[in-house]
Amino acid sequence: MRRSMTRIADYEFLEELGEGNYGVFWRARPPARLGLTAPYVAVKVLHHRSHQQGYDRMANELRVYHAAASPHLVQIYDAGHEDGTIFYASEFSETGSLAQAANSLTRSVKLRCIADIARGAHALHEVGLAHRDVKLSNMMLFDGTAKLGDLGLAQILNPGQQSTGMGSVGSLAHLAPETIRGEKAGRASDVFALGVSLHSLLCGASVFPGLDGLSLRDAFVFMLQPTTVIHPSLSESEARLVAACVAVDSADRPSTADEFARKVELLASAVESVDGQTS
Amino acid sequence: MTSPLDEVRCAVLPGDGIVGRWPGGLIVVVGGPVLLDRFFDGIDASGLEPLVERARTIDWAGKGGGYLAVIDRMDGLAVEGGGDCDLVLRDRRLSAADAPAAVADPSLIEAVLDRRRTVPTVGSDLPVALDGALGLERGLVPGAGVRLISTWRAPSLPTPAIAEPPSPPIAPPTKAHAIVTEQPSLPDGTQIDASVRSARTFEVFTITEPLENEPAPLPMVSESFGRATEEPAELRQQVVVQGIMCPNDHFNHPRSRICVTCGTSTDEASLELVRGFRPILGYLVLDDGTSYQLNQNYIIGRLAIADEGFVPISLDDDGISRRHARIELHGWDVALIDGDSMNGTRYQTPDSELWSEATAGRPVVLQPGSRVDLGGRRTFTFEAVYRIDAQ
Repeated sequence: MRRSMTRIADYEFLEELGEGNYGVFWRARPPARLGLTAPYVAVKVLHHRSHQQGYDRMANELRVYHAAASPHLVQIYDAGHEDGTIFYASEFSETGSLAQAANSLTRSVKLRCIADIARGAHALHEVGLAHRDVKLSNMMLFDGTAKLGDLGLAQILNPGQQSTGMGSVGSLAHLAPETIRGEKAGRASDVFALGVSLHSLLCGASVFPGLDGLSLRDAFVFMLQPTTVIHPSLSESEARLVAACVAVDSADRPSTADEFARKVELLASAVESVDGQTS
Repeated sequence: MTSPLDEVRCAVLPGDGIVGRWPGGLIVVVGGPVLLDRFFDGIDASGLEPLVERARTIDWAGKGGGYLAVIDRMDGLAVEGGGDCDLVLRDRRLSAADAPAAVADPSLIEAVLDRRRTVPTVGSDLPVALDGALGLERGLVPGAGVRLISTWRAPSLPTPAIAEPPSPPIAPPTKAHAIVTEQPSLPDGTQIDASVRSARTFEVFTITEPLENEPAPLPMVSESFGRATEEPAELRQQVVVQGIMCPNDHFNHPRSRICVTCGTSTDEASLELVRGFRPILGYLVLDDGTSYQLNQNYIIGRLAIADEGFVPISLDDDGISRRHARIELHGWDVALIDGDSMNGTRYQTPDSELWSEATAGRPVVLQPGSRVDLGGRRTFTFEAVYRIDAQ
């Protein structure tokens, strides 16, 4: 049924952009009522049908997201439902996500992008929201800057849900141990996921290779006390930052996403100064 | 097939008359006690058809009563009625005699009610949660009419397990839109009222308006599990249970052989029982791969919504009842309770080939690895975190 979708509400779909964890993204033409100059928007259609409680929670969450108003957050233009199927429309990136574009970026740009993302996450934290789904495929590239998108709305609609069939066991790598133990997501759990993302962006490998091939149950247990393997291609200071972010005790991590951003910017400056000397 | 009519919530208005609702249709019959007594004389009131047939046989003129039925007929909703019962559409109110023979979509209908009654405003006149006293899902109840609610602003209900964002602004949270996709016409060129025949509706959430209250930042360091916390118990359903500490001071199931956190054998642990917050007991892993942490109670159903103390797991499947089953945590036990579901709930322990039927309302303690089947449509497995000795 989903494959044959051509529209939702007054959005006309042009192409499927891909499957997210909890829904499908489409490139779409925005309706005139939004008054946008951009030719396209990204529309996410959630798999789960919902009901009034779900709409209320989602509308509240999106209003708070809107209040965060950071240049490092993907802008959400519109949200709603048609016959219980929830959708939202956001900025469309021609260049895609950091997951798609990683190979074409220099180390310094990668670091600057992750710092941008961390600033976006920090803006959310300052209005009381945790993102809950920080990962490379949710970091969108726009003209040399990166914006954090795709707020983890699924857990608003389905509180308690931890993972979906769409994601491999590997996607559990972004879940902080305290979140698995049942604590609410917060600054520290997003910082954990920022560290995991930083590592895989820099070297293309997971910082938790031990997750490979585990059953879901074993993967959850593994992530309560994960064994960290930092890739040798990371510099000593990069490795230190990643290791601090993925510390089991949240008190050992950078205390805010903003602090993480500042540290990453220092790493970027270091890389740039080396590049400047060699060129 | 589910009718779109079944997705609508029905708030019954108190008063003289009866409201009946079954899958695919509803009927309102209004009138005084004498008229209704005559109406019900010798009737089979277990379904919609006998009531509609009886209503058709009555000449309602001048009797102070009437009826109106809305029935799903595949190509739209058929409307029929007579006497003093009105059909209220979004933009107009029609008597039974003037009502259209068909309506495209239940969201166009606001109410079906006694001609002498005004349409209640949802939220102020109808403050009670519709799943409670005023909501009718199936069957026959007294009432002077029914308010259909396909989309409405719920009174703010406690939402378990998630942080509650600041109060929403008072302005209406959603805007309804209707798109007329085409102007259908009959072969002879006659235009059909497009607003009724092919309207599609959607709602957008208003997300850009300023918040009434300044949002509060997240706390700086989250408090670790098991330590004192200010968080209200109802959000986390924090429950104190008895367990043992492993040699490295991690709290464990009393019969746990190895510590779930550090993997140390608990053989040398103090066997003294201590009290601690109940950790996650495991996961429900659904057949589509989604998993749910067992640190709270769940209600599982078709478009399930939260009940007090239960977090919904919503499965979009016609064979699943709205409150099909519940998962309740009792101490260290995970219990399955069938919610008197239409198609039943079965379970299978890992060491057995046999499926057992869960009796409605009677808790069954699930063994780790047990599979559960909901109405023959969906299954899930209980994966426990703890490896424990058999009892």
